[in-house]
Amino acid sequence: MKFISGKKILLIFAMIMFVAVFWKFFCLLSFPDSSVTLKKGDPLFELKDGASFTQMFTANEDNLNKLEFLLRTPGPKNKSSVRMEIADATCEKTLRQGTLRKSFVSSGNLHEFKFDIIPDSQGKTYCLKAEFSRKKPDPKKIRFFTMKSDDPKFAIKNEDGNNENDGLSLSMRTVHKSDSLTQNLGELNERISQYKPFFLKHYFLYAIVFLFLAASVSLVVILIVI
Amino acid sequence: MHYNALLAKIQSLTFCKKPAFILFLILCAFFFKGVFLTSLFPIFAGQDETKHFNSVTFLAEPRPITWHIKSNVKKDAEGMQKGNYTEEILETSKAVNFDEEIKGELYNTLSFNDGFYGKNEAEINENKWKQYNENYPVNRADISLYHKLAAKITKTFSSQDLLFRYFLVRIFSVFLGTLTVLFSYLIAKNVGFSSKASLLTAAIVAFQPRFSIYTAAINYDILLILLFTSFTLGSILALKNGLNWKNFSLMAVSVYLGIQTKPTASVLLVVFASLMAYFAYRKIGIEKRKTKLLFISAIILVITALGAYFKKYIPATFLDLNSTIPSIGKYLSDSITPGKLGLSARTYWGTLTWVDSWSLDNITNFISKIESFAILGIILFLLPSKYHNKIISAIRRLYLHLKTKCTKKNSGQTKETAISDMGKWHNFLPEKKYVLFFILMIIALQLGIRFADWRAHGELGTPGRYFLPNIAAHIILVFTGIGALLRKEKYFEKSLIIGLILMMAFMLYIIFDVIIYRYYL
Repeated sequence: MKFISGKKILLIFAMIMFVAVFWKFFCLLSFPDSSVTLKKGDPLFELKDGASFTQMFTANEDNLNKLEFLLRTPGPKNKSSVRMEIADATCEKTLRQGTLRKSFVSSGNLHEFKFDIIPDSQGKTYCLKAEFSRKKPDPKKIRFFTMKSDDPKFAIKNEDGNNENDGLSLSMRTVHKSDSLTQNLGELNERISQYKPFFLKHYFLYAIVFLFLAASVSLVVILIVI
Repeated sequence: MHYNALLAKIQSLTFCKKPAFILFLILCAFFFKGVFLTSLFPIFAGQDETKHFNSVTFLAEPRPITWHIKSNVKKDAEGMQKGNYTEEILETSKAVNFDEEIKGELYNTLSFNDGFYGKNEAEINENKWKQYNENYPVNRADISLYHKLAAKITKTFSSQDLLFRYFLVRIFSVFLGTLTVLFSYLIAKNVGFSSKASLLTAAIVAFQPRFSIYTAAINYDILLILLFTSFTLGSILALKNGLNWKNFSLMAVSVYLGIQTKPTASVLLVVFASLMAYFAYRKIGIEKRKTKLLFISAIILVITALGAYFKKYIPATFLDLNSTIPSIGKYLSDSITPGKLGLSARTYWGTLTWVDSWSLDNITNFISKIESFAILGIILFLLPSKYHNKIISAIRRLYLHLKTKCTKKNSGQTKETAISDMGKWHNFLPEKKYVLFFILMIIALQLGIRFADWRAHGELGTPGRYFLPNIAAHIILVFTGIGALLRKEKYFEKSLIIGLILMMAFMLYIIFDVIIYRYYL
């Protein structure tokens, strides 16, 4: 009986590890607008303590759930934060709000503003508002990389509403999530399948992943149980 | 279904308990994981993959050359376009926007299309570009056995487009990795691990992240890893059963093919010669003066032959001790630092240098801590019995103290039987000779790699992947050390199961939360 309970503990441990990995995966499963290539463009847009700005942007897909920004190191630290809001095109009605955070695998100081899904976002223009604040006064600024904006409508506007940034917009992109897990996995499959031979595409890819996971899980269970 | 019912169901399936079935499951899990990994890494994204694929293409070209060759081509271009590759490789890299989107900044991905086909995939599928090299010197790796075998595959499928051939060669690498896992099982089984412990060892090897990632790419190191493992198997069989033509052939063929694959395998010559000397010593004995002289002469002859062989790798100024000794000193002080050793260890286990991940660094640091315990266990395991007994006695006293405390309620077992349990710890661990052999293999590879790095003035570096050829020996050593500390087969098997769960979780984490996130999200 004691031996059986040891096996039970190991099975639960394996299950916890498995669930933890896939929980994280499903949390990460959202799709940045890959048509936007983020660039470390100059000049930097600097945000002082207590300062704010707005910028219009358009979502290319439905179910907008995140914005990603490229910042110059360091980004906001423990005692400072960049508070962000998404409002409608008139910048009047706030739709979502939250804080800018470092992305999961912080490659190249990518930061993200994550929020609850905005359905029917495709083709709509939104207003991003951001304000930088510190708990203690400090002259250090948060610096965003910028990109040239073709349309002055999408340029950064300072808190007084003036556009002093010469047609620059933040180096940022929108991220969306599909309606269901199946659709999300379908979209991921589409992305992985691109530039692959037929035997690594679509149904073949599903079959490969299924066989890999089925064999791995069975293997661990059998080795614990026997 | 209730847990106990599920357990009973699994245990009633007798085929599930058969080692052959479980081994098949391990090989399947490794193979399909590998194929999945080949699909996750975009084309040309692996370590030096383009160079290796171009070597394969070079060998698959029609002979004699009937096209115009442009010599000394130096291009005024950036990234991939700068290299002298085939038109097909260069045009494909343009079509997938390799330099901008794949090799570019880590936060950018390919510009994806809707559906299962990339924006310019149809152009690649037309298979209209030249599959041969026109610009010389060709940008390729040293031709090796791996490239020759892969060239046979690409030649067979030359009518297919580059995507088909490229990913097929990656799958060929996965197949070689699968054989490595199989040999790892056989090594563990033959050093004296139980059937279950051997299966667990092979499964841990199969889920080692760096090994898994590496075997999903186009690189001659994958065949080198396989041949190191087959050499280790041959040696273990020779140490176990005595030298016979089967294990001698396995060792000799592995050394020969290894050298045909990569010069690193030359270190196997030294190990091979040492083993032969050991077997000769055991066979003939050297009590008689005449035999002793004959034996020493043979050793001198072998060392001279090895010296002549290795001469090509030794710099001409090597004997000038005034420059060589300071140079070695400088190399050691620059490269044997905690930071560089730590980086080698972390990248060996699976840290990806192209992401800044707190989790990856800390998981690999945790593995290093476990390795430190394992080293302690190995030292304990190898200690001569006179020191050993003192340490064992101390551990026994501690063990009995704890055991008496823990089993007050169930005190059927006397102190004497507890001590007798402790004495059985050698039954489930390998004999010392195997452990010493694994250590010899690890030292030989370390010396070989560090010598090559010193020769190249530290330009090669010592990334963890260079040490993968000893992966089976390494995993067995780690768990032997842990087993020596745990001292009971039941706990030893449990440690292997926990090792497998952690290794699998780490691998899944790297696949689903790091690689997919990097390239597709």
